[in-house]
Amino acid sequence: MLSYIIRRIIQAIPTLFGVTLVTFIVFNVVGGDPVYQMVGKGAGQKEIDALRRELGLDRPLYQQYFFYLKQITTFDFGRSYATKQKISQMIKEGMGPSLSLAVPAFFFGSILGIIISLLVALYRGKLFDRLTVVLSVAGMSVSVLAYIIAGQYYLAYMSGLFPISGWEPGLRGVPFLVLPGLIWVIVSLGSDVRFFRTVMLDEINQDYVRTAYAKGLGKYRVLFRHVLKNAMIPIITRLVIAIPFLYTGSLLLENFFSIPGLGSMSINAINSSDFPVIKAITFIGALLYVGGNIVTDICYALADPRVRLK
Amino acid sequence: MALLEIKDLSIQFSTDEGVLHAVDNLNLSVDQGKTLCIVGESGCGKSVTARAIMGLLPIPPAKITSGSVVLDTKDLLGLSEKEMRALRGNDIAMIFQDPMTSLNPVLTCGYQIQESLHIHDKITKKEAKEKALALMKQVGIPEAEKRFSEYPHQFSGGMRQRVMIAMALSCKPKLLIADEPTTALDVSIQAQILELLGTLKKSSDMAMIFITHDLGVVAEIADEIIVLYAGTVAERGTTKDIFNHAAHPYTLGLLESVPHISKEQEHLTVIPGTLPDPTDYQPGCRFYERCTFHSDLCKKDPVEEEITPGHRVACFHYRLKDQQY
Repeated sequence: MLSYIIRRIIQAIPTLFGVTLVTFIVFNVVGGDPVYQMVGKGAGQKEIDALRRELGLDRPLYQQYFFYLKQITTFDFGRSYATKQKISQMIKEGMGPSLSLAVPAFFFGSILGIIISLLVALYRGKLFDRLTVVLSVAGMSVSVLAYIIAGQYYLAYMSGLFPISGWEPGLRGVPFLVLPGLIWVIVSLGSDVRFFRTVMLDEINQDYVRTAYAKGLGKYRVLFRHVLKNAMIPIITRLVIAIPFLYTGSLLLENFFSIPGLGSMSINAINSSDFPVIKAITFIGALLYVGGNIVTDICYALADPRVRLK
Repeated sequence: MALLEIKDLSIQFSTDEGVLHAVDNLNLSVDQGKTLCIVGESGCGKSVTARAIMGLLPIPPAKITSGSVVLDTKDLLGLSEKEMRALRGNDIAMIFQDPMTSLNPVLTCGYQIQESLHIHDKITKKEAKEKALALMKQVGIPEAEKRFSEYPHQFSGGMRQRVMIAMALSCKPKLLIADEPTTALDVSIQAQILELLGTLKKSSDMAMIFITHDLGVVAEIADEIIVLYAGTVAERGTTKDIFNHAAHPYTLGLLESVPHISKEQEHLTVIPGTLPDPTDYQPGCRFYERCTFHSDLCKKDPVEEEITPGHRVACFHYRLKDQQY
């Protein structure tokens, strides 16, 4: 197992190397010149050259690339063009708000999705099943923007159940996270339930389920002991793949609810051509994604004895 | 008194093509310690009958329209789901055709064997494990301690079927239903499994309903045989009655189609035609279309007639047999 993990990590290095190359080419080679945007109209050539030198953009490309690689390996991504803050510091600060919204919403949504789909599989073809399918499709079809606007207007502005937007550190921030969290859960629930339901129905028609019933087991025992463990493989795949995206939070939710997380930070960076910030976020995203894949493989082996990690 | 007695059992399925008559007015009984073989081709109602006894029919679309299934003195069809659950795996156990898919791939074989012990006999985990190990030894799984914590994919087909048998026998059932338990296995393994079932049955005095389409298997283990055709009984009797004095044209056809090692045959003998559409049975004998003896007599519904004690046949022409063959 351990040697498998080590091998997978070594295998991941070329992938990450490729990511650095692509992000570098996209931003430093074909991405246009950030200096013009920074200095604004009417700046003199002298000013431009000075800024270029300061940012290291006057050096040959290969030197710039090695400098970028050095930044990545030391997790010191330099400073933001726009705010002059250290990027590592910005990410550290943005991660808290992002994760405090994303993690609870993700776990609550996933567990709720799994439980609903198990029940749906149990009552297949009955009213509960049909109603859930209709609601899931409806939930998937409505844009997140509609939920945000409706939620902010009716639940926050009209009834005053939640603050409209904002964020505070620590426990005082909890009330601000309830409404965006709720919207997150509703939006993800639709497609999750549809997917998990298919997985469960696939399993529930297997022969081993019939065997389990023939032993005299009750339906809940059959469902939780026998079916769920078999259904875990596709479920794990779907969930672990989603985890790396949690760190950027939700671009839209953070923006609309003024949560100073990495999602808002990304949007601001994109708007102001703040290349180092975008590069850092892209790279960390890729890193987490590759890591997530390795975790998925390990989870497979834990969930299914037929998977042998060699 | 019979251990299991089925009277006048009819089962229908509602399908998109109409109402499917899976089993019509079936009567059968099994005595303690005896083996009843139900023989017939695919779709004749063998497995549906087994599921009905277990209370595992999917209702709907299935519907039991008449009849009773009495085990000891209890009518199983009148029991609640909870009462039925207490019987399943306890008084009546079942083994299935395909040991590859009938075991749960992500649970250890040991766990799967001890699970029914755990549910039905209120015993501790340690006792359940000991009992499960003893069962594994009893069904001939070598190195039971080691294999207890192994998964089904680490077992061969024959060994998996032994695990299934150990599972079914764990609570000492009065009745074991074996639904084509050897069909998916190699011939040499088949023989081993049949021998095992024979020995186990003798030592525990349980009754067995053995469902198969393989007449070779039937000859080895049956005490009594029921030949089903299109949801109705064509012929019933002892093994000797059926193999030596078959009277129904369908039974004769089945016996004819068994290839003989001593005879040189270019082609296998087959019964021409296929089963009639189960959603659209015509009145009269259901074998009419495929029968070489059919006459206008057969337009009436045949009833079972006793030829010799215990040997019954549902055919108007069985008396002609001696002249024709």
